[in-house]
Amino acid sequence: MSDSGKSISYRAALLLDKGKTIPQSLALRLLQEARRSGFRLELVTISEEDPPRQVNLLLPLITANHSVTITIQSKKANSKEDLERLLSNGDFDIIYAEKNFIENLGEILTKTAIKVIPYDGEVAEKDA
Amino acid sequence: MPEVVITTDRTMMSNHHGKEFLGFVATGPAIGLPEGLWLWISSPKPKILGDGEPLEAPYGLRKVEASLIKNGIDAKIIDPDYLGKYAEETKVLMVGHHDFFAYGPPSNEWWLITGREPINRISFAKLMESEPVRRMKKNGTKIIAGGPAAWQWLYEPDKWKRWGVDTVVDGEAEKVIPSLVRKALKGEELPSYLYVGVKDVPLLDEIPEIVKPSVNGLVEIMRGCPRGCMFCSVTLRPLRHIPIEKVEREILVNVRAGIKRGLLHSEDVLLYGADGVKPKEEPVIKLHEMALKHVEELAWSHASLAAIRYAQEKYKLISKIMEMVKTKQDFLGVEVGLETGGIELAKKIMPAKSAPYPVESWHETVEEAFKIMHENDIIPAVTLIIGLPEETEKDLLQTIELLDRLKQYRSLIVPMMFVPMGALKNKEFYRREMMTDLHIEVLYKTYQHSIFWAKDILKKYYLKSPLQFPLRGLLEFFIWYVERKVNSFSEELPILSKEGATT
Ligand code: SF4
Repeated sequence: MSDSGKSISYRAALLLDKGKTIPQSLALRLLQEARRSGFRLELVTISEEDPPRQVNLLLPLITANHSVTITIQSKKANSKEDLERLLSNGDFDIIYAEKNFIENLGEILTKTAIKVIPYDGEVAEKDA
Repeated sequence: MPEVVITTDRTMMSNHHGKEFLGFVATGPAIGLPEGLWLWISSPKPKILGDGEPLEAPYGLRKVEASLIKNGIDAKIIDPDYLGKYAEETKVLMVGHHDFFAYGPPSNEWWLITGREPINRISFAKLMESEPVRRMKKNGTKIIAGGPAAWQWLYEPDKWKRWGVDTVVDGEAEKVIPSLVRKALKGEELPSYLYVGVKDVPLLDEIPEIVKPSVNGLVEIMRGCPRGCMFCSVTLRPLRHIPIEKVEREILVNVRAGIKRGLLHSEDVLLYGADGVKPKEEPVIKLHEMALKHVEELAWSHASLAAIRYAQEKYKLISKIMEMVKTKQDFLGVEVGLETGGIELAKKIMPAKSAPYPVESWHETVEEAFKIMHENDIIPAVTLIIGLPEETEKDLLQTIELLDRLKQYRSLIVPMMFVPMGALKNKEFYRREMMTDLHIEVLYKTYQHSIFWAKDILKKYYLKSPLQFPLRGLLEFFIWYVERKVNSFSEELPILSKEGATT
């Protein structure tokens, strides 16, 4: 993120299901991968939710972090076409997808030819 | 017209009558006074230069401004009342705050106790919903929010969306902000959230010097803290001592603009130039000699109780510094952290807070430091946290015992409810239903202590010039009002009825 040129980072897409946060285990895994990749994590979150809500769903990751630079780019996908476009243009190392995505959109994920790891989201508490 | 406008709401954009401590008044709701008067007590409008630029602006905003200017970006801090003049041309609006939504201490505590929204929260919402900000958003201006309270946006996604904030930046921003703003100026897609980790924190020579004056002459002398308390986010940052020449240049920026006060900012002013947690005499003396050469009035932001004790026992350093300071003023204000009187709790969450003294002798260190400050006319605002994770009844009883020992020392003790930060940021916030009888007793003791000493401080030290009499009168009225209110409801609480009302 610095002005001093391109830096290494762990770049992942995260397919978030509506109203579900990521589990702690996934948060810790992302941070571990990021620490191995120059302490930088670039996440592109994709969901039907608005961007601020997408960030809010990543609270387990953000509160567990003390040292990694995290950049979250939030994208809205309202259709299968949106999702396909976002995934194929994203230059991702990996995709983490809430299991509902795998069930509903498995064929799109296979088409992208990027490694996909499913996870079980947890229903988010209502905001403060 | 600048492409980038940096601003904040009135509770932050003020010099608080030259008394930083009065800024805390804005962390509560208006009590016993109309909201406008309350706001005037805490945050009067600063002197404005012709085009809406405040003469003094919060130091954090000045750093962001300096960082952008250094990188060739046309940026300016504008007072919130003058944003209308810039609404059509601004491409990027940057907003900073210490406590956007009043979740931080002591705002959350006022909110919890009174059940009413603090003024700082109301004032910030007013700014974001003001006509100029809405017009900017309509015109496509990108909005970037940041500052020490950036984390609070995570709990307010609806406001984040409603106010059209594009990016929230959390952490030391100087190194990452120029590239982010450049992206915004070019119309490129922005991240929703950016947390600045260790690899992107600026090194000493990457921290730009302010180019325009800061509120009350605040200048940073250190960043980070070596003590590692678990509830604190400062300690997650690397420790950096700002070279004295750099500090002097910033003081001169203020003095040349007519700001003759100086406020040395560090988590522990006495650790300036120190090895670890043991203060050294020479760098601290040199720093004060340099600062006092330029300013007419000096204050410290924070100091630790352990460093106060060590500095005095080893070098008589507090007496030496105060001898220098008192050539210009009667007293020195500072914020110190007591946090808890519970020894077991201290061992778990702040084992190095008492270093170099053992944590077991925390009570002695605290009392000794209070005594040293009292004898040397240092007036501390002391923070005490209740509701810390793992706090037990024994910890609270020890805190009460310690508060009794501190009765005789001039100080204002400000209790705060636990807010999850630092290594404890995944823990739960303290809520009203968690309040026990012992918590109420701790709160009542601190109230008694602080009211007693606030009257003494107002009488002997504070706001002594005739011009400050109206403000002083209002504060006296406020103290009277709070005393009356608290006395009336304390009679109804069985836990307090055994207490006397005087200290
Ligand atoms: S001493 Fe103060 S600044 Fe340092 S880690 Fe502890 S609470 Fe934070």
